[in-house]
Amino acid sequence: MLNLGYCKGSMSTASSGGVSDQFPVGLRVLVVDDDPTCLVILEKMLRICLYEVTKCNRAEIALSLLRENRNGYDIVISDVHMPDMDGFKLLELIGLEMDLPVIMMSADDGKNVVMKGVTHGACDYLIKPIRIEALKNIWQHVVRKKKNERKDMEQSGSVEEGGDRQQKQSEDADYSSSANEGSWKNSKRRKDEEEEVDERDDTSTLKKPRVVWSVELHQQFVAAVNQLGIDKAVPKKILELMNVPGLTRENVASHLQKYRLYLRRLSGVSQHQSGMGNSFISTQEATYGSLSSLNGLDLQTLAAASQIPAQSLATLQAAGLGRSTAKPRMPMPIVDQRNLFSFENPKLRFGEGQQQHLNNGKQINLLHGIPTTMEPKQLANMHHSAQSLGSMNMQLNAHGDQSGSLLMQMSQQQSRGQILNEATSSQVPRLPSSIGQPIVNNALASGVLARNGLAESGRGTGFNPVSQSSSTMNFPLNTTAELTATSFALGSAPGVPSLTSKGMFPEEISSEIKGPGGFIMPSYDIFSDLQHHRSHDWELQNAGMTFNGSQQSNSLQSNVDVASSVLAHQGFSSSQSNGQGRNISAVGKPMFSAGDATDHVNAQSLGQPLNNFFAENLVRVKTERVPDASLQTTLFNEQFGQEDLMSALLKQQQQQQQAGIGPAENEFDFDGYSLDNIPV
Amino acid sequence: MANTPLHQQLSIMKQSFFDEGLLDHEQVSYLETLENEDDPDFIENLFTMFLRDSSRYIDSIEKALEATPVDYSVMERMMYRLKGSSASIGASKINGETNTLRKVFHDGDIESAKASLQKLKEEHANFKEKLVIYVGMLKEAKPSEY
Repeated sequence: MLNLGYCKGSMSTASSGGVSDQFPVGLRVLVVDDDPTCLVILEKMLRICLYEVTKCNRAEIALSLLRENRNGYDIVISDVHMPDMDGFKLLELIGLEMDLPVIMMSADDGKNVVMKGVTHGACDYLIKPIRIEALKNIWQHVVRKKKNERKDMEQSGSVEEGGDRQQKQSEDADYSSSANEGSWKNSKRRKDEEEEVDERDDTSTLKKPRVVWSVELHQQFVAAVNQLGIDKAVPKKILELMNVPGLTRENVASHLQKYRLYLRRLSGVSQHQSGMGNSFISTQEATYGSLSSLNGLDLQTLAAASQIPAQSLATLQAAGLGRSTAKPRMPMPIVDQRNLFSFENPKLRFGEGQQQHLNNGKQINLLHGIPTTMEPKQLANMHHSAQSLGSMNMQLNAHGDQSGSLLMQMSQQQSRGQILNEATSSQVPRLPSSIGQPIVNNALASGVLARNGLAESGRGTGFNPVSQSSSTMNFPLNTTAELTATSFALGSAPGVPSLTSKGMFPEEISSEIKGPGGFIMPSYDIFSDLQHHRSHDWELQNAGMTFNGSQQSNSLQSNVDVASSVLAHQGFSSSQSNGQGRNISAVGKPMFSAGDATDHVNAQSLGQPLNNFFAENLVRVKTERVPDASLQTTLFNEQFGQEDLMSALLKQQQQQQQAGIGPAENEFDFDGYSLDNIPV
Repeated sequence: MANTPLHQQLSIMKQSFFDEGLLDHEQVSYLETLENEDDPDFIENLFTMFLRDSSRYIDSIEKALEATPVDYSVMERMMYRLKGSSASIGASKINGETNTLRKVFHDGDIESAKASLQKLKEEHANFKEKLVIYVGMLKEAKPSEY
């Protein structure tokens, strides 16, 4: 269970999932704000209202908490500006995934912002300074939402629903192996059904079976929608395509509604984004030819549906086509890819498999690689990430020079703002800036991450590895074909310090690496093993996953030094002992050499674990191990229960970190800006 | 509540904050209502936290503004946070200066923004100096109350 170290009075066993008799007393509120002062004041007021409060200073952490404990919260209050993710995006994600009421807060009271909150689905919008009166009645949003949901369910045709259920139950019963089991199942179902009916009748309770839109479920949903075409996607057909037992048309209908809203918003945002992403993409646009549908996903449809900017789509397609591009540039797509990636892990794997085949044996430019992998997921993620990409992309693109970043894998590191642009980068002429992109999108990543159900990105943005990896995935993955989406884009653009620099990493490094789930270690081992096995000559490696650790937290200085020296070796020197040409591409800070990994790993910080996982595949690609806790190139090997690893990793990290409290951004020498001082 | 010289001094000082427009009377009074026996250090901690964070924010703003190119995202984030936190604790002058800085910055005039930042820094330094004393007195006054 999550170790909400810093969780105050929180989570009551959220598992109880219900509302106490003294409702609204005990209402479980998750409050998200990156300013400690505001957070403390809010917590205070909410406590006075007798609510149960969990504080969080990063959107990603919030998502992790929410995902880890799906029924653990009743309502979320978040500021509109978070360093790792746009508050509105968080709002949408929560709505889509957990379907919880979300209240937005802001220090600005401009009408536009308030309107934005409303259109994004916030059930209320509060202006700071907030008074307790505004919070006393937030429970109404919870009740209202549940009532509406129940109504949806009822309207959907209870008869049909009941019928389906019944059928399912009987079918299941037939398959049960033992009489006992069967009868138990039957009786349980019957009981569930009865309870459901009871719940419907009892409007006063807030209990209601809520469909949890997990990452997989949502992906299935998106796939179905894409298959049908966003315009023709009706709940009934989507439901049929999804073929998920227990899911009702109403569930799909309401989810579809949200999804449409989300897409619409994204399109507005993506268009707005333009910026770097577009500039990059535009050049590619011409080059790319026909669409290639990846993994059965119809990019066209997806693009149309989600209104992905043409350029992005083109890029994606190009990615799919991969190799053909002369100068693969991964502008926006990368970022999106990341998101896509994380968001749709399963798909990604899928797609990757295919991609890999294509790319296997080829020395694929990282750039190429990236698109490929991204495709399936990218599209999916693009929707979601598009929004956040906005500014991020811009930033990323700006830093595009870091070819190494392609190595997305390194992207993990990026969070710290490291954009490894090390000397090795010179090796990789091919990888243009794009690298920068993936990294930056921590926000996206966060979101995506969450989607993957990896959640737990305990560490604030630092955890973006997942998302980031998506982008990176493409790159090295292709070559190694293992790139799991997790490659995290490193190279956080300086402009986006928040993204990567989750102060946490540096601080947590030592403690975390060791403890948790031993993820970290294994990865390193794997890493070394991989290295031995792989004899690919990854261009990526040379590409230099050089990260420019400058952004990294200061604490990692030492690592950086190591890294630099390693890099100096040209990227092949991966500090690891691996004799083979494992080019670990001293990316950034190769901190851990496989052999020495242990020690380093520990030092590395949380990020490492992730990296380790990925490192496996990534290792080849990117030897860069970002010294910071940030994740190393996380070329996540698909084969490794990515999600499992991720969740485990995340869990670990989460445990390490204080619940809900991520490190302060590392910008401008903020060091370990923790909320520890908040008095209890 | 005891009415020792220390408490009197506290009252006087607090009043001077209000009089000088450094703190908003209404907001501070409101915050004080949130404090109770279970958490007697609430205000003190809040002020301490604000002093710490606001200093960091301002440092970040300065660095961002001095950087080439100017780091817009950091600027935005820091100014936004400073605005929110200063409003939340009632630090009126700082809030006002932050708003001014924001406006000037959004207008695109970097030089004016820098000038505005200097003003903000002055206000902040002045506020900090006084608030540190106030918080010190608060701490001192505590034990005698219970």
